[in-house]
Amino acid sequence: MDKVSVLLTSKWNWKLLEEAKKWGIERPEECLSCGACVGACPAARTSSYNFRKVVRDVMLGNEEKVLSSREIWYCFYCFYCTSKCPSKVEIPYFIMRLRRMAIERGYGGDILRVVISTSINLMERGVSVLPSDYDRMSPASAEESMVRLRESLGLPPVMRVSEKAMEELKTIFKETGFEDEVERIRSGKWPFKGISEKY
Amino acid sequence: MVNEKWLERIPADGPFYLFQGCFINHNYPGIEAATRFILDKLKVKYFVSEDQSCCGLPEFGTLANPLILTCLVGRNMDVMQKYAPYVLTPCNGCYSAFHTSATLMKDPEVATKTGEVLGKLGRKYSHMKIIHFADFIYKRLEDIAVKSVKVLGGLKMAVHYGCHYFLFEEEGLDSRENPSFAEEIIDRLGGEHVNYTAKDECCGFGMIQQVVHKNMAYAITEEKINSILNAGAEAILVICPYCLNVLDKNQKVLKDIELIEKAIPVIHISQLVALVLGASPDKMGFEKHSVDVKPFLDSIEERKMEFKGWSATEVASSLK
Repeated sequence: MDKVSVLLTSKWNWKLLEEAKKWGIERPEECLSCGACVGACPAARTSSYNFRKVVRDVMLGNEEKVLSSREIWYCFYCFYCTSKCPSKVEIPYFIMRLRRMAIERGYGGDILRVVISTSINLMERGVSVLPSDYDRMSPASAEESMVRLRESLGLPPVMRVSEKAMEELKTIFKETGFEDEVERIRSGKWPFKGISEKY
Repeated sequence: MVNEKWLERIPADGPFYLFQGCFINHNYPGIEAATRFILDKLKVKYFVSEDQSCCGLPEFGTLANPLILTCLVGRNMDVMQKYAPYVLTPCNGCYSAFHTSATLMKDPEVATKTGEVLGKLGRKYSHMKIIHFADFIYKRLEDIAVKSVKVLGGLKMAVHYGCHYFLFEEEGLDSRENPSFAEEIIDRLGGEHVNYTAKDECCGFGMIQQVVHKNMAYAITEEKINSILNAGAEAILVICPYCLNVLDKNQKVLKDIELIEKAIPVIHISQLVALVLGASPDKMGFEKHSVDVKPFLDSIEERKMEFKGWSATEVASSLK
C-alpha cells in the first residue's frame, strides 16, 4: 500500500461497514459526499438528517454513535436519494440495514412500539391492516361496517387467510424469529436502551 | 419517455392473479371494486385465493426484518403460480414488496435461510412477473378509450405516481426523472394534466414517519399539496392506496389548520378508469375519502360523438 492510501485509510475501520454490507447492498463506500441525496431528501428538509454524516461514521467505525442515534430513524424510504445518487448507492436499504443492526443491539424500542400494530395484525390474521386500525374504540363495529360496505360494492367479505395458510404462516413467524421479536416489543420486555437525540 | 421494451412485455390479456392487498381490502374497497370492474369490462380472466397472505412490506418497513418479507413473498408466489403466470396489483406497496424481496435474496445468507424456512412448509421460493395495474391500464388504453361511455370534461388533474412505483429505474414503464404515462391516460380520457414542481416527491407517508415523526410527514404533504395547487390542479390522480390515504387525510388536517388554501379530491387510477367505462359512482367506495369528491364527479360528462379525442373509425367501432 502506498503512503497516500495508508494516510487516507488509517482512521478507517471496515468492521462496521462489512457488517452493514448485506442484503444486496453493494457499495455504500462509493459515496462521493456530493450531497445530491441530501438535496432531494424529504427527511433532510424537515430534520437534522444527513446521509453523508451517517455513511462517514459507518466508515470510521463509530458504531455506538450511529446505531444509538435517532438519525437512522428519519429516513422516509422513498428512494428519491438513490434516483439522484451518481454512485447509485442503495441508501434506503442501507438505512434499513442499520436499523436492523440497531434493533439487534437493543435500540429503537420506543419507535418500534408505535409501529408494531401491522406486525401484530399479520401474526393474528395474516393481514397487515385491519378495518379496526382506524377505529380502535369499537373494533367489532368497524369490521362489521367494512363487511357491509364491501357487500354494497359487490365484493366478498373482508380479506381472509385460510386456516391451512395460517398454519404455514405460523411456521414462518417462528422460524424467522419474527414472532419472538414482536412479542418482546409488544410486552416491552426487550432490554431496550434509549436512543440519542444528539448527533 | 415510456419504456417500449417494458410495455411489450406486459401481457394484454392475462390471465392474472389479482393480488389481495390489506390496505385496499380493508380501507379502500372501492379500489378493488373498480379494478375488478375494469378487468370484467375488458374480459380479462383473473384469480384470487384465500391461501395468499399479505405481501410483508409493512413488516420489513417497520421492523427491518428481511426474512419476513422474503418468506412471505416466496410463499405467496408459490401459491399464486398455480393459478396464473402473472400477478397484478393496484398497490405500490405490494408491487415493491416483490422487487425488494428479489434484491434481498441477492444476499446468500438471506437466500439460504429463506429456502430453509420455505422448505419446512414443502414450498420453494418461486419467481413470477409482477405487473402494476397502472401499467396494464396504459397497455390497454386504446381499448379503454374505445369502450368508454364517459369523458373527463377537461378536468385539470395532477398525477402523483408514488415513490415505490419507481424502485427500479432501469426497469419499469417510466423513469422517475419525468414520468408521463399517467398524464397520457388523463389526456386520452378527456382530462387535462398539469405539471408541478414536486411531482417526484414523497406523499408524506414515509413508511413509518406518518406515525413516528408526524411533523415531518405533514410538512412534506404540505409542500406537495401547495405545489399541486399552485399548478392549478382540480384533482389528484394516484396509483397507490397508501398515497391516496395520506394525501386525502392529511389535506383535511392541513386545511383545518390553514396551511393549505383548499383541499382537492384524490382519486385512484382504477376508480377513474372504471367511472369512464361506465361504473356507478356509488360503487367506487368514495364514502371512505375524507375530501369530498363531488367536484371531480361533476366534471365527468357523457361521451359525445364529436369529442375530439377519438377518430371517426373508433367511434364507429364503439357503436357496433
